[in-house]
Amino acid sequence: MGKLVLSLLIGLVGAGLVHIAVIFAMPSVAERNAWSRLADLGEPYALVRVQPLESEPGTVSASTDAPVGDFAFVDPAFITAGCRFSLERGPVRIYARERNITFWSASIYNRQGDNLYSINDRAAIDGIVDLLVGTRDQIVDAEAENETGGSRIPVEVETVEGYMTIRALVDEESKRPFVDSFIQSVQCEAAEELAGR
Amino acid sequence: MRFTILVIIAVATALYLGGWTAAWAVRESSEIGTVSVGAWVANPFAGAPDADPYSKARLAKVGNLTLGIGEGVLFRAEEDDNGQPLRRECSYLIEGTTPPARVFTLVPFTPDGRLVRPPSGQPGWLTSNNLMREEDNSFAIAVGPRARAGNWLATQGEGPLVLTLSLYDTPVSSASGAASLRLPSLVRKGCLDG
Repeated sequence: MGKLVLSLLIGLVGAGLVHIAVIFAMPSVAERNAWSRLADLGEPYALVRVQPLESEPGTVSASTDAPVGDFAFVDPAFITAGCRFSLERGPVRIYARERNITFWSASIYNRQGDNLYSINDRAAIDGIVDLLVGTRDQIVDAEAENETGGSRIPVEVETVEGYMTIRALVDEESKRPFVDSFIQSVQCEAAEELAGR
Repeated sequence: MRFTILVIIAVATALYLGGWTAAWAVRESSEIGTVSVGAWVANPFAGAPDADPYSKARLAKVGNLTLGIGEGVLFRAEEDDNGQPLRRECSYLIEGTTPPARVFTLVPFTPDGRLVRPPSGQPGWLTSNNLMREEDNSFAIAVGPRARAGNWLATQGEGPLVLTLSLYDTPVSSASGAASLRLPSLVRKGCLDG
């Protein structure tokens, strides 16, 4: 009887350990985290749209051909897009060819979904989207080669794989085409492609 | 033989209890690290690298894209000021002011994060740039399925409702004193019968 109680006690202590292990492991092993949802939408470095989920499917959904990610609580007043990237072979440059006329903000996450860096149009130089995301060494190298001039903002992150999102406000429907083309002009480029030019 | 059975009992207890409590904690721990102001609840540290492990685990399961500190803060209301759960068939009045922010949006969602889309032509979400305001810069927004004069946010259907008030580019998101904020009141005005 005493041994049974002892084994139950050991089980309880083990349960505590399992509990802690499960909680800490979950961000790495969760199957439906934001990274894998973005992976459903497109290849790395491809800019994909993040659409709000509709409550009654089929009533309004206009475009069925565009890939739609299942992200919850997406603000419909914004046009949201994102891309995944890897810093294994070099930094990634995130930039927009166009300027935006409304508020925009961008975030960099690591693969587990931790928000590492965020910026908005007021914090950016001249309100231009132009980020060079890399590890500490990559940023130092890029600065030595003078690749970070002008309005480009170097962003140091401690991750190998990650993703970014950018949201731009559509406060009036008449502005939607402009905001839309701004988001379309956003590009995520691996550094090798930059060097190839 | 008896020893083997005891070991199996210990291991089974550890795995079962540990797994169950972890799942339970992730499900029920949504209030850790949150700041609540009236009916509005926010978690300013959600998604940050130094967030608590429970909210990290929950976030990984839900897969939301959290707003960064430089982007804004999302406040969520599931109950009105009297503690009654929000319903899509009821109408509510949101009155007051928000903390300084470049822009804020008010959006109705279902509890699993789907947009409550009203019939076409009706306002399914509001942005602060298009609100009508009182002389003292405060505003009143009617939320509900029936059209109202003034600021109106349309809902439709029946079932639970979650309102999100997202403040973008706001000093609130820097850690200092989110609890001393003033956010608009949220009062139920009546419900459609049936």
